[in-house]
Amino acid sequence: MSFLHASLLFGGFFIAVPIAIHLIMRRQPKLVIFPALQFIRQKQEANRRSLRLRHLVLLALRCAAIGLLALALARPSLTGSGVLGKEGAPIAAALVVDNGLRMEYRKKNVTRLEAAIQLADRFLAQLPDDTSVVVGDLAGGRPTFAVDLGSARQQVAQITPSAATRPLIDAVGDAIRSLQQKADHRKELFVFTDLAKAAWPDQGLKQISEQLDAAGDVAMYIVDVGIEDAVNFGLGHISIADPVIVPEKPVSLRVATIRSGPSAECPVEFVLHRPDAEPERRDHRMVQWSSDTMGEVEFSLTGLEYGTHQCVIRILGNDGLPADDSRYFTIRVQSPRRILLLGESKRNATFVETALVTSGRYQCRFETFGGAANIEFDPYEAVFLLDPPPLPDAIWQGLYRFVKGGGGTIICLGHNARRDPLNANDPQQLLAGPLKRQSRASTYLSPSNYNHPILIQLRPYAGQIPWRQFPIDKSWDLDGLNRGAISIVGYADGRPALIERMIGTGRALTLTTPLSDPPYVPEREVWNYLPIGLATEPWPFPPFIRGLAGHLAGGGEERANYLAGEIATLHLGPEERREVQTTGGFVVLLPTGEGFRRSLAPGDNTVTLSTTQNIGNYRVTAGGKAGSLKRGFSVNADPVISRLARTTTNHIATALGAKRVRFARNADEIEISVGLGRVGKELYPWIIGLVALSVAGELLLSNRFYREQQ
Amino acid sequence: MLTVEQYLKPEVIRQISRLDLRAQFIVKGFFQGLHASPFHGFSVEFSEHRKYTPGDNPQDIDWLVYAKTDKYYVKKFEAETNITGYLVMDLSASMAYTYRQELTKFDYAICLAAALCYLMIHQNDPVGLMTFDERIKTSLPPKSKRKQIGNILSVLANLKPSGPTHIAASLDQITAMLRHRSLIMVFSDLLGDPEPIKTALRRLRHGGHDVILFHVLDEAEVRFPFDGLVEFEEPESGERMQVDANGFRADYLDQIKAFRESYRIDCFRIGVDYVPLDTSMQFDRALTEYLVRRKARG
Repeated sequence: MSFLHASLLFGGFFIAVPIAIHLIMRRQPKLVIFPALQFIRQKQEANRRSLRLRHLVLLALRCAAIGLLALALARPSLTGSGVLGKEGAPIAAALVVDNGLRMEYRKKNVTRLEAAIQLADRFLAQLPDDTSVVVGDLAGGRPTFAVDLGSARQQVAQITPSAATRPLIDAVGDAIRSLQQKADHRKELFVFTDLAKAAWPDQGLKQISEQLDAAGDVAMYIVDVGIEDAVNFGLGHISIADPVIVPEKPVSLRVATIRSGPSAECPVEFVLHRPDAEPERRDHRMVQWSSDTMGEVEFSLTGLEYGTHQCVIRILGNDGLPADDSRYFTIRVQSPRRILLLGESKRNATFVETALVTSGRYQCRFETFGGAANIEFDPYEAVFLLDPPPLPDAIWQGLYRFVKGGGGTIICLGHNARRDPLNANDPQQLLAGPLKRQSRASTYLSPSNYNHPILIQLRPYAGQIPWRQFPIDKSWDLDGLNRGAISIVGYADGRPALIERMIGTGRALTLTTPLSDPPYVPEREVWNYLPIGLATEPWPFPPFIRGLAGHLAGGGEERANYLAGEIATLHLGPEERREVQTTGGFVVLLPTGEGFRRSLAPGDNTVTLSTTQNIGNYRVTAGGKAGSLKRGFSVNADPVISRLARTTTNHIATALGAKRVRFARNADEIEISVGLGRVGKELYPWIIGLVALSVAGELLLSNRFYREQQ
Repeated sequence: MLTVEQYLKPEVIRQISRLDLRAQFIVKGFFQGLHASPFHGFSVEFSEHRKYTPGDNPQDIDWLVYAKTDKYYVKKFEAETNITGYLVMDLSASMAYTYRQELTKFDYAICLAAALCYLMIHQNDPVGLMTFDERIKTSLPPKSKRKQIGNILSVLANLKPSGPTHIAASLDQITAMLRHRSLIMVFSDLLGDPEPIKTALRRLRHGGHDVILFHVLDEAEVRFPFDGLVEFEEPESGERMQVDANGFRADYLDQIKAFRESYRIDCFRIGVDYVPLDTSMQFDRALTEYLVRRKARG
């Protein structure tokens, strides 16, 4: 129980008044002469007890009337938000509006987001002027407090649906943290949501509960703008059955279908977009959608040539949620990248070669170091030196020219390396630094940043990679790094493992431990277990090798399809890179039809784009129609937007605590809910009723008691 | 205009100050009422003759009329015997009580006594007066002369009830004083220990006297019309008691009812006529009781 005006409870001390009257100023009864006293005397004792009892009841009723009146004026309430200790304090309100694409679901010509904005605006208009308001959505970062209520209402009005959103749980967490800045305020959090189950996962609810626990005095209100029994057709993730795409061979595309509502039929079309040409409809069919389940539709794409191809799969007709009616896809058909593997023996290149060839994107040739002198490096995109021994200067010089001209190489140092020969001038033009000594410190790789293109494929699993299961027992210590060398991946003990140097338009990587050691070598110790692992599947090795190859050779195993908000990266091949440098930059064409020009830093062969908020097909070109850079990628909304199934208020209330969260569906309910949350369930009417009863009882009893004699 | 019967009502009689007039009014009102009442035939002044019918008392046959007419006639209501009556008045302080500030119990008793005196003298019955508190205070010997009315009324008019009383002792004293069989009419509120009083009555009755006990209580003592918290004071002893009258009424009424009932039963056993009265009742009740008793004696 809590009190709105706790100080008025002191009024309860007035109970002393009737007690004093009872003890000191007891009203004298009327004196009557009466001769027949002998008949009264016989019942005297019973009468005295009854009289005393009535006096006490009368006193109790008077005390109760005063005490209850004081209690009623103190405005007690049950199940309040617990923030009543700050009555009179200004309000700090945080509004979180779910502006994901799912909120574009339209009913009665109003989207959920529009309904949420209307309610939020109406609510803001009712707040006192001194209220501090912070407005957040799923598209922005951590919000800051608005200058005044007017600007907060403007912020709310400017909220638009966004495809690039973070989880609602994160936005709620940010809002709670923002509220915690207002120590002396009454903190209230309002979340405008459609109550989709996907937006309120159990783990997220637990997270919010913990944050509310930590914040202590934040009252949470969830405003439900969702629709019961929503009906929708939606398209989900697109996948390709074949990992290797060969020119002219049909490609099978599978798109997930998500149905909300009863079973129905709806047509779907498949359109191929070619640059500088009209869109070409490749397929059109009626699809059966099963009730509230996921399905799959398969399309075949034939006649693909080398190059980048973009397509869209689209539901024809209107439904409640247009945002998930189209799905975009980009396929790149390219010739395999040529990689030269130089090693001591073919056996030493087995792991690397297998990791590369199985991707279908690389064509590998092995050559021993002995035969390297006669090899032209130019036909290759990248050269792997797998544990090189001291090599003739001519080879180092040729390799340097190759890199400077746009090629890529990686030098993996192992037991064959010798300090003095490799510290000579020519090798040092490529190596990351002079070799110091072989280190026997047992360690393992410990990447700190998975955003580098080499590690980008491992990024989704960053927290789960068991690097300890791939121990490195020996490695080379470098005596400092050469100028321009940057450590990309380090060991767990902090020493650099993989170092990159930009040389001309190409790049050279140095790995201070080999990639080629077999699991058992009788005559020496094995330097590391990177390719095979210890008691675990060596699943991180292939993507790591392919990341290296893709980074060095360009156009490796890169993604061409992203979710909105993700960073898109394109690795340019030597030819594409030259085209960009020749024309001074490249052009990015957005799905909206707008475009912008960007340039590439010298030596950089990766295009990185973070402006992926729009859903659709993006194109990256350079050199016009005749140019050699004609790439692209697709951006789609997270398929979760099609999952319209709702969670229940009970479920959320149970997870967060029924006393801490309240629900509303319209403006009136917000008012009631906020009222209940701020002051709890008012007991005032009940207590006033009890006061009235006490007063009535007192009047009745005292009238009967002290009735004037006629 | 008031009818004669209305003079039987205490609230009307109260407005008449002279006691002799009060008595006359009461008696006249009483006889006026008799004409229409079941007590018709109690006339003591008028004697009538009617034909004898089987079932009449043969002693009532008037033989002189038979001698003259040769027919049986019975004579009715001719007073032949004289009855000596004593009016015995209780002078206790409690008799001076009135709740409504109208007639006190004593006033009511005096009116009644005066009317009876008037009535008895008219019948040529000798009537005397005794008053008592703790003992006999006044005693007028019985006489049947008209002058006696004035004597008794003048004594009654000057009586003042005050102080404690001892009813049983006083009645014992009366028993000892009276030599001849008499009709003793006691006017008292009987507020005292009932057992000695009942014993005294038994002795009085044993002395061969007819006794009519007029138990006069105030209207308030019978009905207990009080509300709320009341402190009662007993006038004789000054004792006080605080009572919630509403809660106590039922108990009190039970008590007073039991008190009167015990007197009624005991008086019936010993042959005393017990007449419970209160100051709101008409006077004819008391007069009727006297006439019934006189007839029984006749």
